[in-house]
Amino acid sequence: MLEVRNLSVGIATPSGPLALVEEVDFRLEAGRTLGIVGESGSGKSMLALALMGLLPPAARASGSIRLEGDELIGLPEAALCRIRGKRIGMIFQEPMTALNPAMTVGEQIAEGVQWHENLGRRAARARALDLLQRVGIPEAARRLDDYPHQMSGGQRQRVGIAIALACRPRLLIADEPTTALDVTVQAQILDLLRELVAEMGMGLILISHDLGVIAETADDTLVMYAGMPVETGSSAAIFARPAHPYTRGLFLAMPGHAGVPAGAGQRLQTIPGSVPEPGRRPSGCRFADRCAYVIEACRAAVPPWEPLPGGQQARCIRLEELP
Amino acid sequence: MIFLLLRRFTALAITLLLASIAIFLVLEILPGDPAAIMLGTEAREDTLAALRREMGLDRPAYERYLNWLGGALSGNLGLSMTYKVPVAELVADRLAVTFPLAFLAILISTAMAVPLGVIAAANHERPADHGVMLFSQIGVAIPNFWFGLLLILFFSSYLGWFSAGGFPGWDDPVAALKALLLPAVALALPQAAILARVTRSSVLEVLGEDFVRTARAKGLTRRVALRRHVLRNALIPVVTVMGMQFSFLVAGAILVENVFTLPGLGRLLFQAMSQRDLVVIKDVVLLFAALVIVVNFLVDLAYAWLDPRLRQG
Amino acid sequence: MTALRTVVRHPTLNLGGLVTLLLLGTAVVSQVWTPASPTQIQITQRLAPPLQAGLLGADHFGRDLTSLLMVGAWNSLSIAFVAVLLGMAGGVLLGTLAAAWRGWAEEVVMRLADVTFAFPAVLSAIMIAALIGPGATTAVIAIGVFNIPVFARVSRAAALQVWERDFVLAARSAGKGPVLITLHHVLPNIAGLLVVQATIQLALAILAEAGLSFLGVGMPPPHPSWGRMLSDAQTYLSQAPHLAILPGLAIALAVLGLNMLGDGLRDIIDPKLRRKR
Ligand code: SF4
Repeated sequence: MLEVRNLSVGIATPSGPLALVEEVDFRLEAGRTLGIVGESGSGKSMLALALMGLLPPAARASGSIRLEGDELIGLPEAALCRIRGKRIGMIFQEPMTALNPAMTVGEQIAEGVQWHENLGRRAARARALDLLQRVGIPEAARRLDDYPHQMSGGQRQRVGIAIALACRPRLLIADEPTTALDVTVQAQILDLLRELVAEMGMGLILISHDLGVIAETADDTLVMYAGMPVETGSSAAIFARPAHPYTRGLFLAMPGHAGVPAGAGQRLQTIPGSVPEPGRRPSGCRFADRCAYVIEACRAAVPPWEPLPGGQQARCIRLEELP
Repeated sequence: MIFLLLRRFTALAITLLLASIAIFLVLEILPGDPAAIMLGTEAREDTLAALRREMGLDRPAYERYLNWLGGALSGNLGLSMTYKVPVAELVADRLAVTFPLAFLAILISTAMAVPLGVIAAANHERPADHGVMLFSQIGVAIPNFWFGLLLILFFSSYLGWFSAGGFPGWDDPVAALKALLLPAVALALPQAAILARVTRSSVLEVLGEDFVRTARAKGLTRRVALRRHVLRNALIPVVTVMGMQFSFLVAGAILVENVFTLPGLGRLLFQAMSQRDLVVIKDVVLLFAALVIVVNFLVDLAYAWLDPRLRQG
Repeated sequence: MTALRTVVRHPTLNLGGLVTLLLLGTAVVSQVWTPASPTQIQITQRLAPPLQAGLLGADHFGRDLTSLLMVGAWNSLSIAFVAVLLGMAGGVLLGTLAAAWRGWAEEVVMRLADVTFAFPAVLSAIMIAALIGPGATTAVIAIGVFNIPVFARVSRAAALQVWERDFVLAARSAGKGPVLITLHHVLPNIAGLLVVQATIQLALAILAEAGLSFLGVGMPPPHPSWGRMLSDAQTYLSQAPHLAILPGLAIALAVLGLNMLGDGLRDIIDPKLRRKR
């Protein structure tokens, strides 16, 4: 349903073009969930915006994004506007700021429907009510005319989901949908997303820095590092046998993982240093500066994909020699 | 909500009261003998005494103040010394010029400033933006009475489209509006310059908000997202600034009315000053100050109405 | 070093500074030298256009316009400067004390600021002029009074932020009183902001002064003043348009320069605002 080939995002700077995201490839089938995981600075949010065609003005995407066979790259803005919200829905990270404070939640949900489907006010409102119930807001009829500030963070995120689902899109992109929420609310929101995917049969791209979130929800996983995918495969395979040194580091840093005290947080204490900024990235393997197994050859060229059993792949030249 | 309104109303009443006390202190207590000031040094003792009696200066200050305040509240503003007519009548006539002038000026400045500010913000850091900012910088620096002179120079002296001043009265509404147009434009320009700048920065700020991205993710075009989601939120600070600018508008009206010899409140005040008619000055200054205070109060209310987060208060 | 570089590279700041310097220079020079006497009446060159008498022509008494404008700069600036200084002194005193004492003192000060805000300079000037007649004092008081609430609000808001900072907490726990804290910690930290505000208020004060002397409540003749030159020019609008154009240009240029200087200074003192302005 969605096929991304060799997708790159570059930004023009006074000192020449700078790559933010490079060589992303993946496929997503309807009814399945792809998890994209990486630290902040890995380019995963930029990737999401590229899929939506909502990159900042200075940034350009190249490569290919095919949604149900239609190429999105190079599409004029007017055509993209017909696709956004209609065929692709997006859920954002901050439920506190992602909703317009001066508009009722009902209006905000109905807006997309009215826009894309030329539905009358009344019909759109009925759809909004239906959606609000669907995303699990109690007493939805009464809450329809509430303003965002009258709702809790979790409820607002449910509204955010309702907005994204308003036109029954085939593809849903959720960028860190639970990061800003309490742990208990996080679980509820993830449950809701899983239910909706099963029920409506759309494809879901779930972006998170949190392996736990990905493990619970995603069928397949793509690990991003410094703007480039470093490992992909079924979640089952990756979570059973992480291959790339970076993925392994991520796992070791997971709270509750053997050897790491629970609650160690999001900082990757097992990997020294931090994700290099675009422009400071090493030329060969992007992970070379932080990798414990780095050798001379790693820096010579970007490592090719190495196939592993079960369709798993990793971009590391020393997979065989790793302990 | 009701509690909030009550609080605001109390603050309004206190501010108005303080303003009236300040005016009374300056014009009736500070000078010692207001009658002497009004009549000048050569006045004869018996005329002085007569005026003192007429103004009630033989009574204690607080009684005079309460009298004045009570009169002001009931529309009885006393008798003008120079015109020998009730001040209320004078004011009512003049208000029929000043109020439409101020209203027209606000209309013109808003109609100019909001689109300019939005265009500048939508074209951030591009030529259109720089152009608007340049207009704003220059517009703020131009004194409105000078701009009025330039308008007269160009449109009346050179082109002959408008008369250089004066007011034909409301019997002929078209002629009246025509007479008010140039003064209103002169008054509006500096206001528009400031408002355009405020609108621009406000729109820019809202454009960067997450909910605008949400709106774009629904598929709304830039233009529609701007209209439906940005404008309303961006106009909140603009309205506040409009309220704060109102005192400058009042000051500007006094000047511009004198440039165009419009028989408005500002001209009345100016003439009363030349004739040292303290009764008229006291009343008109109170009226102007009260206008500023009430407008700011209304803007406060509008603010709450525009921002639902404040409505529940 | 980077601060210096932003100063050097900042076009608004540079241009504004240049214009302001020019204005200051003209004002100062006018006190020791002008091309002709600004008070000397020469009926023969009455209403002469630019270049036919002096550089910029002559007014309705035949006085040299260049000289009048130069001395006008001095008069306008000195009134504006004194007025803003007075307003700043009063406003900062009230504002910082309100922030230091909070509670009812703050309430009273802010309410008073609200009230004063309702009296634009022109309005109070007319009141004062009716009592003591027109003159520099009238103008200074009227403009100064209107500046008090402006500075009271700005300094209170800024001072409140300083009061939240750690070093103030430390000073308080060391037993320093509110007055000493205000003197030692608050004032130095809000000084930059006050300078910016003063620059912008100076521009507004020049505008106000021009308005007052236009109405005839500012500096009395024969002292040249830009505002009164404009009001005189009204009578000869079609005969001698340069009399109506040049003094206004002088006002606009002075205000423009000061505003740009103020904006530039603010950018440097508070870089966060740069994106928006
Ligand atoms: S290619 Fe080299 S540097 Fe990169 S992950 Fe593998 S071992 Fe480490």
